[in-house]
Amino acid sequence: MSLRIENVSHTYRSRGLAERPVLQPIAGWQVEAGQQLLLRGVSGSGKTTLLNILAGLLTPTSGEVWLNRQPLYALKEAARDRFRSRHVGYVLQAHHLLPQLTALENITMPMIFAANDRSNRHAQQALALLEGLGLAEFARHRPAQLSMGQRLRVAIARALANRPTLLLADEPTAALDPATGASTMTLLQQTCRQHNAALIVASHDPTLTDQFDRVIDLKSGQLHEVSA
Amino acid sequence: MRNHQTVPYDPTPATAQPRSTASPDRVFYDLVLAWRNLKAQPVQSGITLLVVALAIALFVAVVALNNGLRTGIVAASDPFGMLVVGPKGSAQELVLSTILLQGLPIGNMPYHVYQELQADDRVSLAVPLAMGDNVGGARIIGTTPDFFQLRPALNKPPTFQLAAGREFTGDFEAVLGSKAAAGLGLKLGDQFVPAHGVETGLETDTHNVAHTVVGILQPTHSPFDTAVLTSIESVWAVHKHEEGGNHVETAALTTAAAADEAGADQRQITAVLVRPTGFIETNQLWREFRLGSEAQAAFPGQELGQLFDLLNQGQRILTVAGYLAAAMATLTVLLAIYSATDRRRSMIAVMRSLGANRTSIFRMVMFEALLIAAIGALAGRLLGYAAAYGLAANLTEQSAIPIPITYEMGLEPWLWAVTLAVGLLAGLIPALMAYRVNIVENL
Repeated sequence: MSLRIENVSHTYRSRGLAERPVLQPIAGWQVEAGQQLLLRGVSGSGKTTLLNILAGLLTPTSGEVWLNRQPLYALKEAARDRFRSRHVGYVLQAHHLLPQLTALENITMPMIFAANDRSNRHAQQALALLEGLGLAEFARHRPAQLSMGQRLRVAIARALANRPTLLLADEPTAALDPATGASTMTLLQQTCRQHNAALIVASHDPTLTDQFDRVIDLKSGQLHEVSA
Repeated sequence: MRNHQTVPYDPTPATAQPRSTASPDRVFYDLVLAWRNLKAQPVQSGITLLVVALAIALFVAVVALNNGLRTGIVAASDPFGMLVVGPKGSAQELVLSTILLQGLPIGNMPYHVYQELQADDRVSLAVPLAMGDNVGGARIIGTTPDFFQLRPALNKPPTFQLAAGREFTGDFEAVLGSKAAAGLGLKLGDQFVPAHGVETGLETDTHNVAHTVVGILQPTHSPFDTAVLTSIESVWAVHKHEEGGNHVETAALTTAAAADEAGADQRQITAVLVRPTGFIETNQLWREFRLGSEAQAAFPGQELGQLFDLLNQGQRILTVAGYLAAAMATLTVLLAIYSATDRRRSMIAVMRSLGANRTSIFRMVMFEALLIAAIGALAGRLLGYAAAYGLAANLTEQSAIPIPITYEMGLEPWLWAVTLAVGLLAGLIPALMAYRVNIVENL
């Protein structure tokens, strides 16, 4: 796996409002397979914007993102959706599990999107993921019946459902108490190592710095490597 | 606007991205998700579904009831020959009161009209009817044994056949229709006393002559199942008794006694059912009665045809109401799906981030509208047929005309077309909204 971004910049433009540049051109920035990065920055610094661009969800104003040697934004939208489902996992800030589906069904959903079928093996794989995260007994529970920490673990399992090479997480522990947040972050990192998935976590939690291979600060739209 | 730059990082993609065509399994998954979305908001879905069901029920009930009424009237009038002769007045009322036993008889006419018809070579069968009394609401009809020869066609068996007992032969003997016997609780050998008027409540006083039940008819699925048949002489004789007691006749049946006293034949009857020998003879008789002053002849088919025209007008009005109800149902489904989709923008964005493409999201929302329309349509059929059955039973009880409600197979293509139209029209706008959901703005 390799992730590389070349000359990526982004400016938000809204009708009637002034342009708001968020990312300055970023040149030659790369992440290797299995690496774990912490992306730090104050609120509004552009962390979520960068993660969205890396996930193929937000077309940058300029530049290109290469994932597994595939230029993401050279793909048409439907192909990019499909590519994302197979190669990228994304743990969203609010976890966003679908309330009408069980924990197991939330995890099989991206599998079905990627595989284009409803095979029974999806449920078996999803159950294995839940077991790995200590949630097997909650497979048939709906999100409303789970605690915040359990929901986050289901969201992690969902992000790993298609064995992605890149896992992105946006402030995943922000809604958790410090103890639960720390244990869940450890679990996330361990699980990514088991799956050999690169991990990029956006967070402004200063306690996480020592847990990652690389720490990147995002300031004034520019990336600054703090440690390597 | 994106200023895309060609980056010389690796010009050859690692793997070509295959074109995606949704497999049937994948499409079915969108259907499952649509179903789960509807189940997640049971009250809203249930109410929307009910509105669709009521619109479809209106269509189904109107058509089923109209066709049932038409079939029932045709079946009920089937045995009664080609001409109904009665006093001058409304031909339609004459047919309705004589054949379907609906409403009051329009009056009486001299008995000799029947006698002349019976003697006419152009008539193969003439059956007189004299109405004016009832027992427990069942009309008592004075007639002759020829009544039991009535049949839909010459090659068909007689319509009115005995289930038990025999035909009436003497005075004050009665043959009961199947429903009359059951309703009155009378059996062979039982006696009853007639009351004045063709319906209960019109007159409360009774005659003082007991009638004996000598026969009970098989069910014919006609209003005559509720009638009590006796000899025409018995009807006159009952009224002869009353003349002695200074009773004032409101049923306008001048008795044989009164006729004798007057020294002239003033016996009267309500109508005569006539089967002419042929088509030409039928028209000749009709023309003669039209020119005469004592009586008229009416074609049951023609009069019932006019009645059906009235029914069709009613159906057309109710069909327009049905279209309006369908339009309202469409708007209700649209509103429900639109607001549900609007509330689910973030869920749709999540699904998109997990790999669902726009087409899949569009399909899922369309499925929601189509599911509501389809389930509503099925429920509407149940409601519609149940309402038609209920109304038919009520009408049958009131009119004694059996109204068969049958499954309207011919209505199905049209109903499914309406259902599809409701689903597609209601789903299109919300589905387009879902299709256009911006992922990043809604995560």
